[in-house]
Amino acid sequence: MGRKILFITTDQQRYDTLGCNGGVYSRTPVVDALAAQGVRYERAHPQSVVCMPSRSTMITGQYPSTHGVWMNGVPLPSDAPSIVEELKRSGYSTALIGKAHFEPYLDPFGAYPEGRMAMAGEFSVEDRWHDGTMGPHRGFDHMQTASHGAMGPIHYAQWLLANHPEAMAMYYPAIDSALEVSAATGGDTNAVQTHNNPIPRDWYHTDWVADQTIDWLSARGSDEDWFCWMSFPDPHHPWDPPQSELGRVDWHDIDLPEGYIEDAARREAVLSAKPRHWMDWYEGRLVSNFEAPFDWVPATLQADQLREVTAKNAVEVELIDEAIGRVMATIEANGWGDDVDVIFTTDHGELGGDFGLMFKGPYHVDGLMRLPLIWRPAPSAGIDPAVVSRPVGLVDLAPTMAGIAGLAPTEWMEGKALPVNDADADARGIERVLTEWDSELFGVGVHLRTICRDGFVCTVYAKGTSHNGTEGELYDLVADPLQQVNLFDDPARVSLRDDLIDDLRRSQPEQTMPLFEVVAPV
Amino acid sequence: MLGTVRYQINVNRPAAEVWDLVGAPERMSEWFPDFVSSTVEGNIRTVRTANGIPIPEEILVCDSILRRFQYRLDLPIVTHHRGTIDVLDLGDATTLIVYATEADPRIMALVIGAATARALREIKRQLEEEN
Repeated sequence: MGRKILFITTDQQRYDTLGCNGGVYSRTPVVDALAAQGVRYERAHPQSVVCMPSRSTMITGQYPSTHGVWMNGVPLPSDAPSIVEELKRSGYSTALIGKAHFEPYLDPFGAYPEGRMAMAGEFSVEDRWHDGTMGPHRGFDHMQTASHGAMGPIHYAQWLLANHPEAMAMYYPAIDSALEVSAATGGDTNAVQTHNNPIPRDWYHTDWVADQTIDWLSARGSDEDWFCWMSFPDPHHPWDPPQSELGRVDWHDIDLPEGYIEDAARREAVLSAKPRHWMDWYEGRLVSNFEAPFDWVPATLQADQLREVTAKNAVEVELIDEAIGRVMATIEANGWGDDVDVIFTTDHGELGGDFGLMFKGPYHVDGLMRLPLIWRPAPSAGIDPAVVSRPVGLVDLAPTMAGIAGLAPTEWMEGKALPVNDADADARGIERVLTEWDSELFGVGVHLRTICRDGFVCTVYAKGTSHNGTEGELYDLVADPLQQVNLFDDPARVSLRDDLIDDLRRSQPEQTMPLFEVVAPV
Repeated sequence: MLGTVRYQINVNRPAAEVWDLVGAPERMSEWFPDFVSSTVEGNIRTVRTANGIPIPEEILVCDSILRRFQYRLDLPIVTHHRGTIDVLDLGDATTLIVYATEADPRIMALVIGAATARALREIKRQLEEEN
């Protein structure tokens, strides 16, 4: 019997939403306890700040340039490398319960297995693996999918329709009649993508994901090795947690987030010192992708609206924490506690009011890039608790999971197994993390490459709709943790900047060409 | 909001042979991977998706001289659609197929366009590998 793996992901969760990371809005005792028992990473970055490329990095252990999912709407090929296939081959029972999103949600022709499975009420389909053999799709014995509401070809929507059809319309409709990300307002302050949701808590997708996970775990044999990816759709927008839970965090009482610059003139001065697409989006002149409502202008965001969004986000984070607590109790009740590794992270962050912005996009700053990442090794592994300050990435998860299972990393994995402390990181030369952005949609193109090393984050831009290819950003994460002072053109920093750019160019994988087609908005 | 997406592919077969396949509306399901059947009555073609959803399409142009096929699909969420396939003889016994999709909402141009790209690859595969 080997070590079992509970891989917990959320969607679009900021680093500073957890108590163990200094968060002040939510109570997260369960995840905080995992952090105290395990390894907490203070500088974990995604390799893309949007869902499909980032999730593809988690499962393949590759950068977007390599696995080819270069923007949302590009499906990960069924025969792409998969750590789950490696685990399955070595004898693990495998499941993904919750948000998958390796394939597009808008799939009217039924072209992709995720959607086809859900619509057919099936939980597995035979498919071709990376090595040419056949097995369950991406290595999962069991896939039971959810997303941010009751729309789309997902198992949760089918379950809700069959059991509580009256609840289908309770959620905020995230997509409008033109199939764009909705800019409809609601809640108490008419905030965008915000809604007071009358759905009972135990019908809500967070509890559903935990319930299905508990059911799947309860069907495992006591000596069975298993890998379970429990993937919560929250706290991604829309911000519509069950209304019954809103009293947990009263938006009237909370302080505005630290990154929100209340004075509009100062806010706009900070934005103006960044590459042009920052201000263009803020003022509603440019929406480069489908990551934010097309008809929403960030400059219209009001302080109370941000308070309400922050509070609802905090409620969603608390519900996730409690759901994880129920799953951990099941693990203990089954006597597996000593042999289960728990990894908790998210696919990318949320701007959350920083610089007056919300949602996400081609903006490589901490709101989107600094992620919660906690690895609670199985107690039987004897790894001491630690806090790691060195930069790591989601690209490092697949080799970490391979190591937990006693497998060597495969040749296609591009990351390194997560360090268990800073000394381990230094001994293995772990000192940088890279993040990419590419988007080309209806004539608007944006291309970024970013490196984080030595306490600095440096981004360079290729030619695109808003950029001539000479722009960049450089921030000192120690002196300027909110990244409000762009040092890219500071003469005193030229040497450092050029060294970081050289390192970035040497470390960044070549992009797989030709680019895969964009087949849907998300 | 209107969106337009266009894909093209070179096929190493004569244009007349390519047109025999793509210019026959009832044969669409042979080369459009997302459709499992296609039937024609008058100027209405009905295709059926892998999910079992029937989609009626109005045939607007089927011109064997120009080698142009144009149609409009009828889905509740699509307020406007125009699909155009041009089969162009390159003069060296090879063919360029251009498949353009215009749709409102623009998102559907993206989604339908991606399906047409898969179809073009299937046409090339069939004509080049099976001949």
